[in-house]
Amino acid sequence: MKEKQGDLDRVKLSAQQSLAYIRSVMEETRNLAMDYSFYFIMFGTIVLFGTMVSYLLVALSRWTLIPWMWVLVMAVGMAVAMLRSRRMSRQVNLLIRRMLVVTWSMVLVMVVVLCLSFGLIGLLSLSIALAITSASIGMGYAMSAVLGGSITLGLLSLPWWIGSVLIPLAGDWYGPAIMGALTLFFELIPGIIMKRRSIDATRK
Amino acid sequence: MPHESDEESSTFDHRRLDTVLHSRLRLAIVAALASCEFMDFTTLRDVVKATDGNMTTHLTKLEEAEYISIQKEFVEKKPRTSIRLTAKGKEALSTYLTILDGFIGTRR
Repeated sequence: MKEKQGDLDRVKLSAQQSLAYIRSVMEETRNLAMDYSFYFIMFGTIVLFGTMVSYLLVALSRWTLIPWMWVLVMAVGMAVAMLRSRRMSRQVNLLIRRMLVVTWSMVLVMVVVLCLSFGLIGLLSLSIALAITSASIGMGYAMSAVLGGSITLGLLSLPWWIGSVLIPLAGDWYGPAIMGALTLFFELIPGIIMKRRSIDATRK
Repeated sequence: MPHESDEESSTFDHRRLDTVLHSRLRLAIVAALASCEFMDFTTLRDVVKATDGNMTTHLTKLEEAEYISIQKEFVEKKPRTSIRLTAKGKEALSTYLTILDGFIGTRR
């Protein structure tokens, strides 16, 4: 009787281990398909670079070049993101991933259109263009949080929305500095943390 | 009518488990593929932490059981192998999970 109970316990333990193993493999696959760290780091870096170049151009009294520089920087970022996304979709494909790509592509298109309307038409001031950009990024994070079920991404949307209010209040001189700070603390640094976690998880 | 002990023993009968999926690596392959639409060979190999040789052997067994479909093609002059779970494979995994749940006495 005791022997039979022992067998049943072993079977239960083995079944529990198998289920836990299946869950971990599924989780790993999902994480692999939802690794945004590359985009966080890439866009964080180019926006920080753009912010610094903007101030440099102001110092050199080359105001007219600023919007063109932003159009160029965002277009390069968009091209790199599209190439990366295309390559990743060949490795592993998930419906949620495609939805996220569409969401962020819309945000990027909106940012490029804003840069163009600021630079080409002069329709918007720099701080207003940055405020709308910040709100769009916040929206991108919020939608990603809902799609991916990530509280962290949801929380990351808050500073961007707060930033969209603060930037116009700060004006054209301090607005880009706020944008740069938002990018550093709520895009680049989270991206680096995500990348490190992803590398650690792969090593395990 | 079966005795209670017979019912209990049938619940814990390991022979009910699908032998194709009872291998740890094949189970991992099927579980990984169940979480996505398809995966390429290299990514799948890295996810399940296997070697190329091991992967080939187990993928062949899964393909023979019609649990997976393997598509080989050239993309930008580079060979690419895409692997996806078939409807039969999804059903087999679902049945396997139901039996495991039965073993530990939980409902999914």
